[in-house]
Amino acid sequence: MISSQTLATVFSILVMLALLWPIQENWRKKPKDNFPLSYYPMFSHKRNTTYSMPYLVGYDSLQNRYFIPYQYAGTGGFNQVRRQMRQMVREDRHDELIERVAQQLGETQRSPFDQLERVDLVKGKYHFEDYFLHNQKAPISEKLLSTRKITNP
Amino acid sequence: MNALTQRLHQFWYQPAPAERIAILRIATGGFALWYLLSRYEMLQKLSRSDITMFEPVGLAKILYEPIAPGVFTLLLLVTILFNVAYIAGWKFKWTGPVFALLLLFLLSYRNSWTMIYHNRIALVLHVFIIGVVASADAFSVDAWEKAKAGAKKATAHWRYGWPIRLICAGTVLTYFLSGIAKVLGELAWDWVSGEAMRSQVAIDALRKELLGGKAEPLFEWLYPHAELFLFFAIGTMIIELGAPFALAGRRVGMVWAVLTWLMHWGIFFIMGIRFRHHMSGILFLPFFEVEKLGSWLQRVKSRVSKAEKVTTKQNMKPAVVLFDGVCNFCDASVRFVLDRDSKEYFQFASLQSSVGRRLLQQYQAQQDLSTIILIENGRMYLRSTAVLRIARRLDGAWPLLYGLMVVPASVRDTVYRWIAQHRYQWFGQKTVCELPQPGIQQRFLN
Repeated sequence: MISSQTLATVFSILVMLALLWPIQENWRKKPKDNFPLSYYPMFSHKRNTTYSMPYLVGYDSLQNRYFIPYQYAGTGGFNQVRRQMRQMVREDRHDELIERVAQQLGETQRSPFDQLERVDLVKGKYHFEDYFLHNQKAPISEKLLSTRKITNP
Repeated sequence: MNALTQRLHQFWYQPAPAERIAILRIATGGFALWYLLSRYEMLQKLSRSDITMFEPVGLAKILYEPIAPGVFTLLLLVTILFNVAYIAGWKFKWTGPVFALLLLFLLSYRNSWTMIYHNRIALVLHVFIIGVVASADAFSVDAWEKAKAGAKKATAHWRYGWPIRLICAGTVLTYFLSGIAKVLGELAWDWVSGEAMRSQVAIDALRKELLGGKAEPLFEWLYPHAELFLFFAIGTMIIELGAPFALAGRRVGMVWAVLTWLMHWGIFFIMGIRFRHHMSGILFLPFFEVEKLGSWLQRVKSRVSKAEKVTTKQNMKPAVVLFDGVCNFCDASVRFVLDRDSKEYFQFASLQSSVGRRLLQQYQAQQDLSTIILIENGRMYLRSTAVLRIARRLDGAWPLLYGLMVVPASVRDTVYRWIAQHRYQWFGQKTVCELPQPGIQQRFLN
């Protein structure tokens, strides 16, 4: 236990310096975030009017299209799984990812995902204003990265 | 220089009651325990994740590879046990620091799988500080055992005050760093235009839709109103870059804490992101004299029961809301209340109307267009108190806002006055009071 004012002062200064330490990341060419000493880069990036990302699309026997929830692709929260997917795509591990998702979908009893026959891993590009203001939900472009048939066990 | 050092010393080592830091120990420990128990299964699954996703951060950097799942389960259970000891304040000299380190390690490990959850940083920081100081001299097994042995009850002391100062300083620093990252980023001060925030929020909504979720309804309503994001961006900058000013005084600290708490609720409603530690208010407790909460609640309870007795006697007479009839914001607020007052508890009159003026005269109040007035059970309530008492009677979850009565009226009213001062500028003004729509006319006394 910290019981003297000298020790308390030293401890306080050290904690404050440690918290301030990551500020230097702002001046680095390739800043790296950390935990719990972060430089809090959230929301600080410049964004374009378009955005592309990998995601999963499933099809039933009538070729109806469904976006596959992130829970089928990995463990953890929404953003964590999204990042894991992005990393696997970046490392060209498309088949490994789609295999895992197809297996999960084959075992699911959740409607409408239990009716799916095929799942695609795609990378799509979207325009925000078109998507949210003009209700144009179709992507500007969509590239197929990998596909799998879903088989029930 | 000496005077400055002395003032700093007085500020940092201001005595505080042992109960205050003890409550913070229980609150942070309680939150940590809730987190560990509710995430127990997820954390176990995570420990069995794809090894290639392991990117150690913080204390987990001591590891070359992920921990074996069995060892991780054991570590998790040990952390939970120490967490319970931390809350109970049992042998705190040992259990406090050990739990602080275990939680730091465990959360570092949890954040080592491609994603850093910034909303857990404050929890780790608070537990780390509370765990190594004298925070179990009240409301603890240790204190109970000491009392049994004849020791005197702990009185206010600097050793209970400085850790709270440090927690507050650490908390504001994290927000300050977040603001600094924005202005030192690619956009610099252009960030304040709100466009980056609007795009970021849109990206988040798009990601949700493409990964099987849904954008928040409030986002869909907000997105076309680009000008509102300017307002949000300025607000964010004030909160983040202005955070160090929260240390200037108790009241400033409380105002900042309430504004920041509201910001997190705003993020939740717009983006659906739950910062539970922040939204629950536990993160901001160090800015308040939490030990006074009990007596305050008792005062409120006795006032409420008195008011209820009067209400019963008067057979639930409707309450009257007086508002500025030419202000667009006030007009929208009245419509908001009308839509959520299914019991038709409230009646309305504009402050400019003859009824409004007569009521003001009756209650010997001056006409002040900058405040909403609530007349309820023969008493007149102004500004934030009126707003919160109105919220108490609305449908849905709005009565929860009444909990904000815990914030001193002077603090609440400062925020209220600031919004009231700018209401014409932000939301516009009408030249005349409009007549109410047919169907709701009976709710208006004009």
